Amino acid sequence: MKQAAIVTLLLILFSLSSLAAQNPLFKTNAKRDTVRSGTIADTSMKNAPIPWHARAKLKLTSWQAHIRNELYKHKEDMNSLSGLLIALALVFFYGFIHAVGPGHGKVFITSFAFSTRLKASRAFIGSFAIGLLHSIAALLLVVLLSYVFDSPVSRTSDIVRTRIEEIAFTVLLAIGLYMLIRSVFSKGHAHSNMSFWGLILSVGLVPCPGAVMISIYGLSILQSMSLSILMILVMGLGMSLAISLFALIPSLMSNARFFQNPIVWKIISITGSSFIILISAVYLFALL
Amino acid sequence: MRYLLRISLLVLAMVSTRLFAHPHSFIDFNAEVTADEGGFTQIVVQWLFDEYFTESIIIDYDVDKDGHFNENETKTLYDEAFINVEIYNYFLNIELGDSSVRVDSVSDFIAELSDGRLHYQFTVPLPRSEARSLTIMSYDPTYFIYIEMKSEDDFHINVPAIWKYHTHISERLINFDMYGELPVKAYWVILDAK
Repeated sequence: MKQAAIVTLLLILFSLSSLAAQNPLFKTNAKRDTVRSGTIADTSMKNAPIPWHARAKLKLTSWQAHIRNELYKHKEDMNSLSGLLIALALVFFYGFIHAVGPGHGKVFITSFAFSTRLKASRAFIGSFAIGLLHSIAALLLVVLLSYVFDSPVSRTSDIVRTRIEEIAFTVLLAIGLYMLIRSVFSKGHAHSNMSFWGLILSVGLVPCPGAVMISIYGLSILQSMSLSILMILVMGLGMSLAISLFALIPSLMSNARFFQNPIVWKIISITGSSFIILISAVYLFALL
Repeated sequence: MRYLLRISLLVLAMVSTRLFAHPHSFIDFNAEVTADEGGFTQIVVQWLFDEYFTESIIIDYDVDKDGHFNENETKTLYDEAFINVEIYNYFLNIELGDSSVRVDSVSDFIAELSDGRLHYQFTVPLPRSEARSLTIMSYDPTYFIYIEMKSEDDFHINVPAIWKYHTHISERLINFDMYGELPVKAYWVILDAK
């Protein structure tokens, strides 16, 4: 029981991450910008040893840079089937590694899965819907800005994403409150289709900045809409796989005896809902 | 149950946000350090962006599509896609001797396109100081952009003949807020009188 409690706590702590990601080169009027002013000189730890996990993190960052470089170098080889398959494999791995990092709604779908004791099949569907929507939204954003509104993509996509995030966090806050009320007063599994799909849409429709870059690569460098769509879908699948690693854990653990206890289940359910409320509120506050 | 818990812990360790972070743009960092007889005077910084970010900037800011940024295009680029980093001290963490130098303003901003990549260049004035050592670190505290200082070859030193100098690169641990700790390279220049 103690082990299960530790795992639960670790999962919640480890999943805590931001959905929000803005390029600091562009002004988005997010409160975060002014709050962070002047912090750069205060975070250096002189003479501290470099731990292995810090090196591992750096390695993953360099892998992402490497995959993107390889994909860029590959731009002339897209006409052959083997060239296309290599490019798609690169995009898939980029999507996977990228989504393993902070953001991409993992904390929301995982908290929801904990709170509602979501079945593995639903967690899987939810993860794939988020990953695919997350990347398709990025392509749609680039297409709309470039071809419909004739608006600057680099900066405007950041501003539009911030506005979408404001709406998404507001909806997620409302869903969290609704779930909390149901968790407190319901005797069964407090889960509704409306809150499930509301959460999926809110998280998924926030365009992924990494997918915005892949969309620009497809549309502007390769100048092919069909290749852009294909690469974005494959990147979305890579992201979905990473998200599902989180979302499936609660359902895999739900058979443990520890989770069968109605009091424990109630506490987890309330904690999951509260977590959605807390994180939505924190990031909404940072954006407004 | 024990097996399941072990697997869960392993997956958690693998996918935890404290272990993994993900920049969306990449910059190669270059610099030229200048000193006069009195000590260090300025640093000319060059950022070399990745091809993806470069492409998005070309689409938006090279309005006449001639492969260069004219005066008006540079002004727009400066206002819309550069000056916001003022609040992040231009991603610079500089020390003269043991004193931290807060970078509040820079000058001589240049934006260029070369070999399919966007270059930004700007000059950082240094305060007058008796210090004979200069340390330069560069990182984006939001970790949206990964700034890489590859080797000592990315630095040029411009000092008068009265000085001899030596340089080296070390690593320091930086706390990137929610993204956790990461090693960042620190470039050192030390001046000695001949």
